[in-house]
Amino acid sequence: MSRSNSVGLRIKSFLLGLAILIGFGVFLILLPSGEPRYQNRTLTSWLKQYSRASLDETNQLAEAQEAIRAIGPGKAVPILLKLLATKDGRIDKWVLETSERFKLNFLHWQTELDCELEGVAGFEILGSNAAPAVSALTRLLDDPERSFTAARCLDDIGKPAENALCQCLTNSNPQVREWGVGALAGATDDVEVYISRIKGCLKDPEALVRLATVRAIGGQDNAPDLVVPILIRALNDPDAHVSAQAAESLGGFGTNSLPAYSTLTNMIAQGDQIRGRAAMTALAAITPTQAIPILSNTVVNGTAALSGAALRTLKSLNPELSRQMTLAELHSADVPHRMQALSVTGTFETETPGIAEALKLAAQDSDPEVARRANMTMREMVRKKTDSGQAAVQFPDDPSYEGKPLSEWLQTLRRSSEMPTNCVKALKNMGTNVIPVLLRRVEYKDPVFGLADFEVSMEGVTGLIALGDQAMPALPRLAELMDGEDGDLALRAMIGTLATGRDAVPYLMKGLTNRFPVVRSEAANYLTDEWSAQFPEERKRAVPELLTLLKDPDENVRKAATNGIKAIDPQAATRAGIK
Amino acid sequence: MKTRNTVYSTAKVGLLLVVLFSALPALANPIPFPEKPVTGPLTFAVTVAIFIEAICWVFCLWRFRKPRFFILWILGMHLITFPAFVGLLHFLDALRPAAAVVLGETFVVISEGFLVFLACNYLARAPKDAPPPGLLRCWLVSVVSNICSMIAFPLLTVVSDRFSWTS
Repeated sequence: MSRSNSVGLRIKSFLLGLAILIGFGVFLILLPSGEPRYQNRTLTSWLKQYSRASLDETNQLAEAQEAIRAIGPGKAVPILLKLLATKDGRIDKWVLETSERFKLNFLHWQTELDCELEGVAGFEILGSNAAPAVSALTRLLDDPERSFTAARCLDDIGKPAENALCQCLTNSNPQVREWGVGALAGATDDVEVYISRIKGCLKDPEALVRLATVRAIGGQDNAPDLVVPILIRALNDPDAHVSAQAAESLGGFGTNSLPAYSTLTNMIAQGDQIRGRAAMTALAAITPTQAIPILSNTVVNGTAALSGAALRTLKSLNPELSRQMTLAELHSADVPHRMQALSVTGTFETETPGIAEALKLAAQDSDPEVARRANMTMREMVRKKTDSGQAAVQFPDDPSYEGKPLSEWLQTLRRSSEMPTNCVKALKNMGTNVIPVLLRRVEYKDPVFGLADFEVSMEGVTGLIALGDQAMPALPRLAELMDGEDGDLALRAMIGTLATGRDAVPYLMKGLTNRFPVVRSEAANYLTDEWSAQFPEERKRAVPELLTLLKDPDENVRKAATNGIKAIDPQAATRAGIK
Repeated sequence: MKTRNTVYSTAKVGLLLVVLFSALPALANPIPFPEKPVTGPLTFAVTVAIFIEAICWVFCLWRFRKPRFFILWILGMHLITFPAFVGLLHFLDALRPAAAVVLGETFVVISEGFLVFLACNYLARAPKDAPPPGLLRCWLVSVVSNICSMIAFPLLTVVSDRFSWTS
């Protein structure tokens, strides 16, 4: 080959290579732009925005909806179907795993689940406009991995997908059958036709499907003649939840469900908790008068769980009878019956006659669990009252400032993270007569149950702290409270002394020998922290006591003492062997 | 004549240095790399895979005319083609991962084959009697080399796992 030929071949090869390279590059650049667009963004980008937005991002959702509707079903449906059918192959999975493993987050790969969700989002937005997709979605029902997604999309299409939704009822996937039952309601105009279509699902081997069917049939409240007999038969379903759902639905039909009376009473008598509860609620709705003796009989003779449910149901029909029976049940010889009665007691108002006394008595029950539950119930009732705003504590001799009573100033003070200067000023201007009122709050107990009220007590403590030096006259009483029987109150009293600054240090040292570990450890903590650092000489006097606390039986106290000694006197800490 | 040769050699070495160490201005949208751009195992796997590919190139074009330090040219070429491949994956990430990787690799095969063709035909001087490889041969070798490195990459990640090289 001559030199000129060789040069010519090289130039030709160069041009060919360049052309192929450029051609392939152009192909790659044009490749992703094959999708329909709206406002210069692809359909999948809008779908991504819609499927990833949370429900409260309404603007994002509305914008994406508008875009997808503007693109239109003609262009969107083929892509949506493609997204639904997307499956990750082995290479896809490997690439996805590798990207994730090496944290290559800049590669925004779509998993098959992402694609599926985006496809579903598209059908949700397009609704019945996506009707041309029905035949493709019907075919997808045969794919076990995509059948449920297909059923969801058919549900979104609605009426045009009526026949396909009927096919869902016999699909091999129980989830599809369950979804189909509900979805068909929106696609079938006639109730009778709808019920005849789904009635067969009551014999489905899956309880979930039967449950959905009973619920769907029970929802047809304009056809009681058709529905009630079906529901009565469903009461005998082998699954308790299906049976309970049937009872609940029957309750919704009121007196139309009277033929179910005997079956429902039998269900209660059988003693199954789920069926029994539902049957009692249904009876109360169907025939309240006849239900009362059945319910009161169940309270006395039923199992503990049914007894509690009967008391609750009875309360809606005859509150007075329910109250009397609840109080009587609190004296039952059977502990589970007493526990159930306690849970019902908590549903009454605090002022209901006999309730508070019964709870206080139950708090002394020989069974510790019953006593604990009674205490919990009382606290819960106090808390509920406080939350409802009924329990704003005001005393007749409460002082006021600038027309606002003390309680309002204290509440403002409690709600603020910093001490508002106007509150501090108000309290200081109320004079010394505010101290007994604040102390009364510190040791306040709920008048009904005699339980300490943390919120009110802390209002008093915060008020004392706001007074600063002026709180000195409160110190003797706070010291007495520190020696009391209530550990929490003792702690709050000790915190109340902090207002007086240097004068509080002896009270903190007294706290180091308190009988309650929580007071001892908090006292050690306060003697360690920044607050006490302003009084170095005073707190140094606490070191011998802190050294004693190193042998305290409580671990938290020992830890606090260790930290305290290290902070106050490092040399003493070294001598004591603290590193 | 000697001066001309010196200039020619200097230009070649200069071009190689430019390829190896230049930072081309990024005119396109920048790719947001993660905080740790390459983790330990990834660096290991990518580096060794590129070396294997380079060895494959040298081995397949053993009898053809090539530029001096051919293996360095191949490694230097990857300073362009590897970021281009990653950028392409980023550009094509709306596609299925497998499709994007196949298209990206195809682009790399075409461009690497073309670049090696240019290097061997326009920059190589020795041996004088050896023929320079044709474009088709370069592409064929590019396919073989890239297949080798693609097979090696997952194996190397397994090896890095085995030795517990964590990021």
